[in-house]
Amino acid sequence: MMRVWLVGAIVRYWTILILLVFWQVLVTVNDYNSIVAPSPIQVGTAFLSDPEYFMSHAWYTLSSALGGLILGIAMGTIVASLSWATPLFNGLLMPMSLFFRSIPIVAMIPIIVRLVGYGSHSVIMITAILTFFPCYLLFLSGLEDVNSTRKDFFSSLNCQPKGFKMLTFFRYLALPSAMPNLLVSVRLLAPICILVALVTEFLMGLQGLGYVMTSARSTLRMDVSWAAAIISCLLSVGFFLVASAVEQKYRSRWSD
Amino acid sequence: MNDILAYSRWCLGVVILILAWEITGNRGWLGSTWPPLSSIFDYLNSRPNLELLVRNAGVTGVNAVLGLLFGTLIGALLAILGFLIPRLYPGLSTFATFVNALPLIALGPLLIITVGEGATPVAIATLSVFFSFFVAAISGINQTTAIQRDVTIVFGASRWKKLRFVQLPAAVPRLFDGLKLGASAAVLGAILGEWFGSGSGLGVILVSAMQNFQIELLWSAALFGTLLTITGFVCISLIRIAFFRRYL
Repeated sequence: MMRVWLVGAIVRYWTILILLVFWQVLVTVNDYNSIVAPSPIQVGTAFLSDPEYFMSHAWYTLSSALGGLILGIAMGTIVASLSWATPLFNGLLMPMSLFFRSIPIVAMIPIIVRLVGYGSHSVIMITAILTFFPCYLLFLSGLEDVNSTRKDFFSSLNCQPKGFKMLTFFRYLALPSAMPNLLVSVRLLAPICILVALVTEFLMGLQGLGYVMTSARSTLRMDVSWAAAIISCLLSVGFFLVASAVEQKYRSRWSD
Repeated sequence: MNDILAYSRWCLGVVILILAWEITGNRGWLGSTWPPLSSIFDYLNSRPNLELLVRNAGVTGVNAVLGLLFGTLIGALLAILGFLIPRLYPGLSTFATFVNALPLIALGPLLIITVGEGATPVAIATLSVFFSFFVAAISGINQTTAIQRDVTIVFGASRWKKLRFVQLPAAVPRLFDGLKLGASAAVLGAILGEWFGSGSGLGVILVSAMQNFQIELLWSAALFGTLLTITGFVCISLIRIAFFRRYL
């Protein structure tokens, strides 16, 4: 039983194991000073020597990323529903969202930092702004992509996506067809919202793992900086896995 | 008729966007960090400013293209490896998901040491391209129909021959989709990489302009970043059109 489990784990994670071993060997063979490149063991001890410090910053990053994601998704779904209901609004918003889709938006965080100002609210605001557009686009495309047979059936019952039956149509047809897209957008945005939070903290340097990475580097505590980097990787991967699991679980409920 | 209506709404949207930008900037509703659109073009109208931006956009462009190249190569190699030796595939796909979920900014401290400050932009661009191309290649390779697969079995084709003659040609459209996603990922990766102590590039300009409150420079750098992405998109679409004459 144990062996089966072990073989399964190796088949799945061999690449990551090789990376870890390669890292340790590289550091040992070249005999790097910990200021140049700490080994995995040194990074581990740096974390264990003060886990509370890392955890409080990790919690800050995670909570602001989550808060921003929730805010962004709420705004995205509301605005998408509004623009589904009013074609004029949709036409007005489309060029803007196309524009936002074609720019490398994470690289524009310096601008948004200047716009929203430095402070504890900035990380949440920026995460919300950056997660809004992908969610808006995906949710809207789900709302508009209603199964045509069902649409015909509904219109035979005199229920069409306009007039005062619009709400019924929205509730029973458009919304269920957009739900899988909402789940997809949560999965796609889970690592992105952590990335955005880290980048913002990195640039502003107030609090959070992004801040730990830069501040430790400037005092040559490379082990601390790498520990923060690895915790943020784990955070991001973990959040992504949770979001994927949620998507897998609820997907079948909404799709055909 | 419906098309014309949609089109005119679209145009109205563009006009309103530009007008709103200009008015907001002129009135200063969003503070001094939101300049009117015209002042950015005024700024770019002077020769030294334009030269500065073009030079740095060139650096970022080269980084992004190199990253796109390496990322595509690595992604394609790993996808082919995973196909030829199915036992390796689960590990490779876990690795790809892992790389995708990694916050690229967190790799900065690690990459500065391992590949050096100069190569960090290329390395980050490579990593961010790698995932989208790997996924596109894997899903493209599996695009063949059952009939095509049966034919290869009947003729007793080896795994390699099957890949070479059936599955790679079938994967071409998907590969271009992956490249398109990769183009913007490469520009983003290059800019992020330049934040880590690189000497020149749009990323350096973005950060220094943010810290020194040079608002026009900041927005112009953003504009050039957008232009780079759009150029990448257009180039790949052109190659795709040229290629599709053969594979469609």
